[in-house]
Amino acid sequence: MDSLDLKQSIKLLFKLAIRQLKRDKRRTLITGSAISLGLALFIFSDHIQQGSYQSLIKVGISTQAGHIVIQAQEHKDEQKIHDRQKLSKKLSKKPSRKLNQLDQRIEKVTELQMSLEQALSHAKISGLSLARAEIGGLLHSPVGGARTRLLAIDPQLEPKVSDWHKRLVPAKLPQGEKGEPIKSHWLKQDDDRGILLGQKLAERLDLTVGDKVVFSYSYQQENQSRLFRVRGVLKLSSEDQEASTALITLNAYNSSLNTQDQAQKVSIHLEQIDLLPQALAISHKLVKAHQAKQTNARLKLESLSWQEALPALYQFTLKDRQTSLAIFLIMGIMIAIGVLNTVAMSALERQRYFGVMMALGLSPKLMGALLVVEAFVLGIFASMIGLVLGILVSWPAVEYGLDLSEMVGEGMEVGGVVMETTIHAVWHPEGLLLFTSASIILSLLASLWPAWRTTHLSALDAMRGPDTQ
Amino acid sequence: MSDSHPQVSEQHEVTSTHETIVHIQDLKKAYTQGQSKVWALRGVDLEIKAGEFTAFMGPSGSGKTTLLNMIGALDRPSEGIVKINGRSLGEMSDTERAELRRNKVGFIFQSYNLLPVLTAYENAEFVLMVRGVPEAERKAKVMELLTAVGLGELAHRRPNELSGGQQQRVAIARAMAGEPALILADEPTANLDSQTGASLIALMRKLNQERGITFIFSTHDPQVIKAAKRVIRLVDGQIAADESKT
Ligand SMILES: Nc1ncnc2c1ncn2[C@@H]1O[C@H](COP(=O)(O)OP(=O)(O)O)[C@@H](O)[C@H]1O
Ligand SMILES: [Mg+2]
Repeated sequence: MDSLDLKQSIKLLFKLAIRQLKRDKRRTLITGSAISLGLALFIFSDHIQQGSYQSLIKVGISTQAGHIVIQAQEHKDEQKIHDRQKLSKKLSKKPSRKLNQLDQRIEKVTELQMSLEQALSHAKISGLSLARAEIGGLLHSPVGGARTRLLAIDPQLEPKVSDWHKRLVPAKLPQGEKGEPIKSHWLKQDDDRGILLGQKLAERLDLTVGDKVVFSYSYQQENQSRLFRVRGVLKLSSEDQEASTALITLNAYNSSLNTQDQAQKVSIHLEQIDLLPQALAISHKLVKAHQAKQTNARLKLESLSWQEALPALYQFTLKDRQTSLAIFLIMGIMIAIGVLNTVAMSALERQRYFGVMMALGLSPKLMGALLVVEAFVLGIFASMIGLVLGILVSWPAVEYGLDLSEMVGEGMEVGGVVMETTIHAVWHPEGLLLFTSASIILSLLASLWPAWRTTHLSALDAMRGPDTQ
Repeated sequence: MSDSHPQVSEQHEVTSTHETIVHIQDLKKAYTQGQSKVWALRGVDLEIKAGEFTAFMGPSGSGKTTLLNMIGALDRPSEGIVKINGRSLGEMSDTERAELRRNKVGFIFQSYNLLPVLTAYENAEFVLMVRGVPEAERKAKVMELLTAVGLGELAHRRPNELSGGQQQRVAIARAMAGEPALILADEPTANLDSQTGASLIALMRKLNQERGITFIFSTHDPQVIKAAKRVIRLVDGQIAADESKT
């Protein structure tokens, strides 16, 4: 009869705590909403953050690389062998030269793509593989020349991944001529003479749809040139790009190099980025098998994750993560202080009643424990509400996206990648779990100081109230 | 010096036993206020027997509340000895003192001090809950007491739905619930009108007589002083007079 056992104590504490929380609605509401709103805010910004991260990767990946990039590289040790050969065969008539970018090609590309797609779909990974190549050279028109990067693409598959085809704009007529602008057309698969020019490039060379243009480039230590016909003009996301980029078909690329079914890169675009490790494993395996089909023994096929293929973008995302982590931390500390403050205030305002309870014989230990239990119960309830609230406010941002165009204006460029102005938030279950448990733990921690303080007060001092302390 | 043998005393109201319940010897208490020391009690010697109905009277600041707090193990003496039922409070830990209050002492405060989130019933029940008394037993006890103090109908009300007099009745029921040996009441009628005060005094006197509970008051109230069977007058932290009525 004199004292409670542990089970009875816990029962008593929960009963008293729940009574307090249920009956002192005003206080419960204030403290609870501090916790709920703090958590909801956290969850919302995490989803936004997650979304902007993924969209940055998505944009970067679709135009620049792919989630996985397969390319042909000169053997790492090739250079050494090459140097030794040079030494030993000083008088050799045919010294092997160093390979340049144009020589580093993958052969039998269609075969590789087909086996990749088969293996991926077998592993239930939805994705697309895409071949691309690039030639640097000079583009000439009667008016002049311009350094140009020709991107060779697959006109059928490319639109599934990037948005070049949406960037076609009507071409202006040559200077001095009057009339309506001429409609641009997307490249056809077997068109090995067609070229699409960046708008600035077209203006500089005074070219319009239907005009001929000559591209000269150096290949196998000889100057080569090829005639193209302008099919359209592209409005690109940056002026630099517009002044130096043109698109051709992979067919045109192969014709230019007198090859067939070759490309510089095969990229794999996944629907779900979290399946990257599995896809990478598949790709490693197939690339190894495909190596045997290569005739150029100096080249080694390799498959890289986007992080390896786009190190600058990857570095940026890492930095971006760090920045947002820092912002999160500051936000977290502020919310924590707010919660701590409300919990502490709530305890301080009720100190007199703690004194009464202790005067009536509640031991200081149980008194302190009561405050912790109270905070725990409130923490769980408020965090659950915060979780639901966080999901609810994230919903529209996930479904419809947040339009930031007024805030950031034109798309900001990051490492050659132009950011989208509408951020689509992305669900982040790990974040939900992490922040909700953190919120419960935080509510508990916030009660420790008032609890400690209360247990170290005498009943009498507590009853006198905080004013006389 | 635990005095557990019944002593017969002609002076005091008679109940079944006459054990010494409170024993105080040369009790001094100083409060430090800034740099100066205030002596609230300057050497008090006192014996109170079980079943007494005793009032401390005296001007404001004379040490009445301090003395009650010492007896109720709410405060620690600067010097001297306080014993309850023969046990010296000075040697007890905070937990032991809480236990003593829970099991032996009931408090009635001038400002009622009911817990605002609890109903009248739950306030009276509190001590029993902390003691782990089973629910059925609690309920019987508390309802009996609330009926005895005339609040059987208002058991479900919260303190802010009760008048001052009703709140103090709840406080009396709360003090009684644990069946303490001793109830300490610090100016219990000070915030009440005289009619309400009179009825509460009558109630406490009845409980004192019927159940043998020892009551110690501090008071200014002439009605309480009139009802008390022993009046101890405090002046400047010392006992100036100690009169028992027959
Ligand atoms: N917590 C305290 N701190 C400082 N002085 C106190 C404290 N409590 C009481 N006192 C002083 O002790 C003296 C006795 O006070 P108290 O016992 O409350 O008297 P009473 O109850 O008879 O009015 C007074 O001078 C008062 O100012
Ligand atoms: Mg007083």
